[in-house]
Amino acid sequence: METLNSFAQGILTAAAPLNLLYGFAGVFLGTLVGVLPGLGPAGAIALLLPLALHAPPLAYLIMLFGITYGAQYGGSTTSILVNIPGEASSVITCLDGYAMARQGRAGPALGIAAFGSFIGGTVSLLGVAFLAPALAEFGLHFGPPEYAALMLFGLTALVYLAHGPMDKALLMALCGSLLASVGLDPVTGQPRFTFDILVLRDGVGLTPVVIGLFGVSEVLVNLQAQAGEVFQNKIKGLLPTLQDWKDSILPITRGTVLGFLVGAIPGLNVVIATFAAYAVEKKISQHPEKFGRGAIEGVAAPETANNAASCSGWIPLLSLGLPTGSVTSLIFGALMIHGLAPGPLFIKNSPEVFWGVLGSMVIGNAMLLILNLPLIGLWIRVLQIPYFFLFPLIILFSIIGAYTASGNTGDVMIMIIFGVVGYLMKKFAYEPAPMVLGLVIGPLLETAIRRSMIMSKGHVGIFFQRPIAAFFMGAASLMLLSPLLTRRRLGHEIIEKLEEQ
Amino acid sequence: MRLKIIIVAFAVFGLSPTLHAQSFPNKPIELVVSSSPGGGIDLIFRLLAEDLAKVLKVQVNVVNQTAGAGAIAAEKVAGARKDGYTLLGTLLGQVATMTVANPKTPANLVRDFQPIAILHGYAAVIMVGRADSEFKTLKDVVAQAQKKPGDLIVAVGPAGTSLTLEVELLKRAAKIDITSLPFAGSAQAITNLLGGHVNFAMASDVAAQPHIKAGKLIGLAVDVESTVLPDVPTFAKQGYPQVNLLASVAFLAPKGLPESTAKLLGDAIRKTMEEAKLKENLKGRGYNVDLRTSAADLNKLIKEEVDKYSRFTPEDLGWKAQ
Repeated sequence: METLNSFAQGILTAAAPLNLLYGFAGVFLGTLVGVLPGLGPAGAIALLLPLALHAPPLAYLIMLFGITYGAQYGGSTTSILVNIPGEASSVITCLDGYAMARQGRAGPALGIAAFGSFIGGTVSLLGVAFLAPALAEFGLHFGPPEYAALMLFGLTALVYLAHGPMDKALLMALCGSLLASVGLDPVTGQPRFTFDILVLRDGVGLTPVVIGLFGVSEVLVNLQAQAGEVFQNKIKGLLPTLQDWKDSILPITRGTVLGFLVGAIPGLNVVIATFAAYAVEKKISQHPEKFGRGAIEGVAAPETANNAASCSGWIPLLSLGLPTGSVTSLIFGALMIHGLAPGPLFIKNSPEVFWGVLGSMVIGNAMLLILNLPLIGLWIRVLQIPYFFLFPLIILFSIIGAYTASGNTGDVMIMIIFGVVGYLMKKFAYEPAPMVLGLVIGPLLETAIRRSMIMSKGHVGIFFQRPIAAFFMGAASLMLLSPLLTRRRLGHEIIEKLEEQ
Repeated sequence: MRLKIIIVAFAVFGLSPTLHAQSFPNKPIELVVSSSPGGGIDLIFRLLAEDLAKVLKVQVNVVNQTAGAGAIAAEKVAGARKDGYTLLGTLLGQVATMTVANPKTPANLVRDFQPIAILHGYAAVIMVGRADSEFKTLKDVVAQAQKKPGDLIVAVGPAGTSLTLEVELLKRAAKIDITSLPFAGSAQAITNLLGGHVNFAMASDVAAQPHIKAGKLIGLAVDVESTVLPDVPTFAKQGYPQVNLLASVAFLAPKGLPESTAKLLGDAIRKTMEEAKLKENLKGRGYNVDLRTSAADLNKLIKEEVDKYSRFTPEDLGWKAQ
């Protein structure tokens, strides 16, 4: 009851005209930043930091938070329209979102992404309000061995849930993890696979790889197609139909829960939440073959999950004062300048800030929905631009995106190389998404395992002696071994293969 | 003929250093910062640039160039025109590290740069432990490490950072063995300490402060006196003056900058720093404002910095031996 009161008070605080204005500026900027590939919320917040001295503290914070979740709304737009993820968390949205756009259903895809984001974000906020301190304490139990076990469990689950040609997906995930090992060794700091090229010291960046694999390669493939074949010119509807809603409501629900949980554990990534949500939907779907060919569930679930995860991602910072990434560190800095250093006592000492920000996020999510729905009509006109204008524009924005990520021409080269790689992958029917997953999970898994080994002085037992780690290892082994015992999945696959032939 | 005169005039005005210095600055200054927007030391330079622009009456544009652990930013400025319009904003240790690992680098701290201003020991590194553990002081830690070498685990930062190297120095100075477990930075190190996965953590004082205030962690030692945790004693005071890789932030220009331009820039930075608002803002963020701008001081600091890092192998510093 006290929580409800505080929450209501927070919404009232956030509804004050000045806070509303800053909140709107934040979500508007966030949407813009989300749409532009390469420029992420961290860059935008950094540019606004000098403002910290001139703006009122709470309003300023409301704006910064607005940028972060606003970006999750914007990220899907370019994924759906031109197959370039605006943020890494919208990579998986490309698969079905872009397919929908090509069928003339860009409107419903954008619409369900906006509604899903709204629902996921709002519900996740309620979770933050009621569960934050408890969840944060639980998150602390995750040390390196627990992360390693969780990651192994997650990878096993994803493979177990995957449909279709598993060998190709695994191969791509492996290539992605290999790519992730380029750069400084995260433990000893020695350069690996850098060939004395300075740019490679920092590793192969996620942004240029994603833009190349998805955006550039798509343009290359389309150049071969006859003009007019790429998109169906007739636009079928601006908003999701009743049938779309029926198809999406359960994926949205599941995406919310999954996103909330993944976001609450520090160190896991919003990107992982989207991949997991997509995999779950594909597995339990009645018609998994439709995934990748314009299934609205494939847009609804990950777009919901990324918003839910980006909201619950605040739990470690707000309830324990532990920034988990570059964006949260920036916000930590912004809070500090006003003497509001977040820490274990933050909610107790500065309730008006905690609840005010939470309230502003509820209002901001509603604003984003209202802001994004009318924009759909505008966005889908992009698809009516003649191709000889659209394609050069896409390439131009891709180059700008790859460059702005770190201000480095080397990244533009990486983008171009992966554009060609992506083109070849499409021609040989390899999925680029597992490669991105490998690139994201690879370093997390590697550092977790190696840190565990340092902690245990080389004894593997560390993964089985600690209760949480042992639980995940057990679950993973069960999943790996169960086909041997039941022969169900094994048999299933062989039958499928035979049918294909 | 007229064209020739114009060309000659341009050549004279364009190249004459004295004329240039008099009119300096008359166009925007580019400040190349070696960390990402909002990351690491970027904030200091962004805050400074805003006020510096008012003093110099020209724009000061911050350009972030993070690639190659700051090497590309350093090389870019080292090779830039020596006119004061291209400056490097960096961690002094970053360039010193490169210089030690490969003295032939095109960005050698001593040979290729002219220091303009240095914020000496701008932020403190702290060694923290858990409040509920038996180790209440640095002495307890050293005693236990002597008893059981390699048993204690300390969470440190990435290779080559002072979070990591200062533990190496402590191990050498006290002749003890502690297991270093590298993490991405202060926040991760503290998280793992709070979760009880490690015994101690090296972190920035600012990141550790809220947890010390909440009574969960205790400060064991700092490398330089901290503005936010003034009660924690330094390593030096506890008998280990060798643990002294104080992180300094530096404004560097390419070597060969006209003396007058360097002085003008140094004075402008000093004037900016003395403004109460900026000073307060930096202090509130846990930054020390020990600004050095005199040429003798600067050259001495640079020499010392290279010497400090010479105690390590290139591998310790995260670079391949050349």
